Amino acid sequence: MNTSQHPPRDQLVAFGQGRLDTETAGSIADHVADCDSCCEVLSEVPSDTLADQVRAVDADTTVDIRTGKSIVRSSTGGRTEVPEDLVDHPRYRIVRVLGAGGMGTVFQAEHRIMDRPVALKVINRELTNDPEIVQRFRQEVRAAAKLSHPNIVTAHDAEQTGELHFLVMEYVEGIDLARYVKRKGPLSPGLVAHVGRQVAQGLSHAAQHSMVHRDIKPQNLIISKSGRVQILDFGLARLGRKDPERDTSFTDDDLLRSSAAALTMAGSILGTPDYIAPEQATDSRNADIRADIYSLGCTLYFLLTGQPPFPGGTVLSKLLAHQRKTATPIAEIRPDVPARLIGFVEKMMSRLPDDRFNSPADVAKALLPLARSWQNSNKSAPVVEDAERSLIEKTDVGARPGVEPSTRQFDGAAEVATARKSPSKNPLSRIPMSKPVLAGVAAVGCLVAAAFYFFGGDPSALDDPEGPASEFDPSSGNASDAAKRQLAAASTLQLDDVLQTIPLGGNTELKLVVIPAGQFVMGTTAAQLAELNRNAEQPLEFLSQETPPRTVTIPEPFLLGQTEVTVGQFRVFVKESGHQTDAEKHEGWGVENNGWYRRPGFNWQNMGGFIVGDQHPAGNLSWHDARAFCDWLNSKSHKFGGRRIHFRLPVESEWEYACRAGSADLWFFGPDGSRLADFAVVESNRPQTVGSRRPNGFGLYDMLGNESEWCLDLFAQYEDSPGGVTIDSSFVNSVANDGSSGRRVQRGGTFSFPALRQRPASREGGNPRSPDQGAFRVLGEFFTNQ
Amino acid sequence: MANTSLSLLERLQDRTRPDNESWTRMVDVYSPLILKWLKRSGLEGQDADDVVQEVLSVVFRRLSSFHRNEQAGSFRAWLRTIAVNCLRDFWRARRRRKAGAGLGSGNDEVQQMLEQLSDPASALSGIWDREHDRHVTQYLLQLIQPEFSEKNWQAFTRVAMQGEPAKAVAEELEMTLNAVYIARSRVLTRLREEGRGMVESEFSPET
Repeated sequence: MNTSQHPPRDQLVAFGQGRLDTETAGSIADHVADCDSCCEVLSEVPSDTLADQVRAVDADTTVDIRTGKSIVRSSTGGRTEVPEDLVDHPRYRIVRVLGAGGMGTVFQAEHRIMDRPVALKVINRELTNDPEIVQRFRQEVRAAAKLSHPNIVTAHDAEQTGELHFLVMEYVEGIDLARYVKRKGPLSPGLVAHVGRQVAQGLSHAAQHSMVHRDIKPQNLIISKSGRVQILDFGLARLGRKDPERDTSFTDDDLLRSSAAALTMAGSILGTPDYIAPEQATDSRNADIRADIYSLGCTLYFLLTGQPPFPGGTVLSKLLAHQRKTATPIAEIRPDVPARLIGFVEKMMSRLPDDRFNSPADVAKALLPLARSWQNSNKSAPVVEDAERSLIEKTDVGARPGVEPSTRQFDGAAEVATARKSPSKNPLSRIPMSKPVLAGVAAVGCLVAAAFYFFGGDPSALDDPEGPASEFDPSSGNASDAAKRQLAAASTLQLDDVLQTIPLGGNTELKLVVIPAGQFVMGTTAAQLAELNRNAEQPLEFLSQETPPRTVTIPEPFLLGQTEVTVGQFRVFVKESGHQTDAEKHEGWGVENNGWYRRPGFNWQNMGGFIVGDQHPAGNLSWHDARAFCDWLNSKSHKFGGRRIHFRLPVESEWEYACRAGSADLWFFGPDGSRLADFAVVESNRPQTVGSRRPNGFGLYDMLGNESEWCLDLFAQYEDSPGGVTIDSSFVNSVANDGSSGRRVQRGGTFSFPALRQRPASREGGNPRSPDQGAFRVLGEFFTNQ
Repeated sequence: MANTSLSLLERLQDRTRPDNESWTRMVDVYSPLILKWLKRSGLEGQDADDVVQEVLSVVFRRLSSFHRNEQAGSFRAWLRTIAVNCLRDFWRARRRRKAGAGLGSGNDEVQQMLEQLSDPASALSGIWDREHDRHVTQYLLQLIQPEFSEKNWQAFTRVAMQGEPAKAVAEELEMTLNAVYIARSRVLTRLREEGRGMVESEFSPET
């Protein structure tokens, strides 16, 4: 017990308002910690201007300090930008983000006039560019709005503000079953029956209105405090699919093309691969309400066992599994589940629709006795306890800014896929196909579609009203393939996402993108050389550095920094290690009188008239500085997918491979360099904050332009290597351990360069001790035997 | 006042020691705000980036000679003036380049906007001030957050920002009520300290 005297009242008030100097405040805090009567005084401290100012800073809606845009926090700790058209909407006030997927973002909002909470699903702009899809969206919502059932989340209306289309629906308090299971583990058999029965009742109501859901999965089922379950997103799974049945004038070719497009729109065809019925994967037109029954069966399987029927593996292998394999029997995983319930679930999961229950009503009827016994024994106990709810809604806020849990992203895969638009722009549409191929294409389509979701790499890219799917560039035929391979690599590495994050301390983190293993042609081909030289006044000498082209094999997947290392990230390193950069010891580059000059005093955080912020790439760094940063990262243990990571600079072949992202063109987006400004800071007079332009096919930002990037290798003329080169550990070690002081490779070109010198194959060499235009990104390789 | 550490603005004004870190903070907090206002005046892309840099470098050069007067909010007014001047210069240069090309009505709007912003009593300047204060407060809160434990920060945001009853927050976070009030006091003290001079009227210390 603190025995010192109570501080005077006005001093306590000043303490409460934060007006005292730190020392006085500290001693008063010591007293207050044990003094309840002072605590009472503090409970009545009047609000002052600072307190009002703080209150005005809404904890949920904030302003992104980087872009100045309005940001809301999500219930899972992520942050999402509020679309401008919704910032001051006359009817709705955005409260927070509930979730995000490729189709759009769901916000919790308040109806300003009616003072009731609603949920707004804002449809991705990409989708709404197509008037046909908008019309379809309205149709679907209108149809869904006719559904009125306690187990279905009510859709109110489709609205439009500016260019923005959104669905207004009932706001349901509760959490989705995927997150619920993640928190609580598998559910009791009784509760599972209770859930299954409710969903079946909802589906039955929909079936009476001739509606099929097509994307029943735990993430689309919301459970409330009392245990009520409601189905989300009726009608939306079909959005974006052109329906050939509606148009009888389709030629075979049209049909194929639209099918191929539709197939890539996994949402319309596939639902989520973990829960999709076999016949739906083959051709969604075959799917009736019994496909929903199958998906419900898989969902109940998940609720009982904590895992989907076919966990692990790629999307493709999951799809095939639904058609060919039998899931591990529930009894093996969970012996305490009554045989009767298992029997029902397995019947729902029959491969042939005819072997399943005929209707959702039959399912509900079958589950009734099991569900009722659970209800009777749990009448008063809340399913989602208050404490848990608050845990979900409060603690999660601010957990990891900018990062949505991967499960949500994956769930979005189906939705994103619907964002793929006109068939003519789809790379698959160019492939000639005959009908029997379609089933196979369905599977591939799904893969592509799921991969699209990850395209931007950065989940915060979801904040972009155009969404990550829009980053896909149809002009480069291999880009979709890149994303697909990337997804498969993440899955093989047992990573839940193609984007991984390392906290560096404070609010700073480092984001890394999974790059799959593969093979590519490095350098510039003779035909490309001729093309580049055609318009040049004199032969472009520097191009000879990029020849002869050679085949390079990258045998192992790796991680690569999503952006160049930023000033903010570099600062954490300098603070911890005390590292002094070469520029600080000698001199660096900075702006004086609108020109760049080399002077003592210029360094990574001081570039004179160019004012550097935390989000700018850390420049003015030598090759040795960059390596010191990697060593510092390695001084801490980083693990992904259970395997340790070693950080280093990329060798230039890895860099070019990652930059190309599957493209053999002059630029990763195609052969037309005039488009580079969309993807790179080019012909500019200074660097920009990282991520200011569009990413490449792997979701990497600023590979070209902005600051040039150090690579590990010595800079030398390419030698002819007819057999190709393999970048294995011995290759990398020989490069890394070469103590030569010769020039080292820099890639990507500098902000001031023209497009011609900002190609994936462009290369330069720099003195490893010199800070000339030096920035870098890190590569993380997986330890093989740890 | 004894034992008070320097605020962000004071650290920047103290030229006896170079403080690059504070500068990048300054850039982080003000770039988006300035950019937003430039965009409202019709600037885009590289032009907008250029003017932001221009404003920041003027601030950088002149900050040491900026003296806070007793008037509330003098820093934000000072900054507003710099931004307006830089914008004027930009449009003037543009006009010279495009002489004879005709400037269109858009430019009249810009002129009106600049005039309003030059007048501290105008409605537009009022909006600038409010946005400035809110933006800076928001930024400073993010800046100091890492100095506090997760629990203390939760307690602060829920009580001071969201206005939840302190008692309920204490129970949910398993803290004593006393600890909740101490957390609120500590964050407010730190916020006031870091923001001194930037949002003067609101952040003035001991009254």
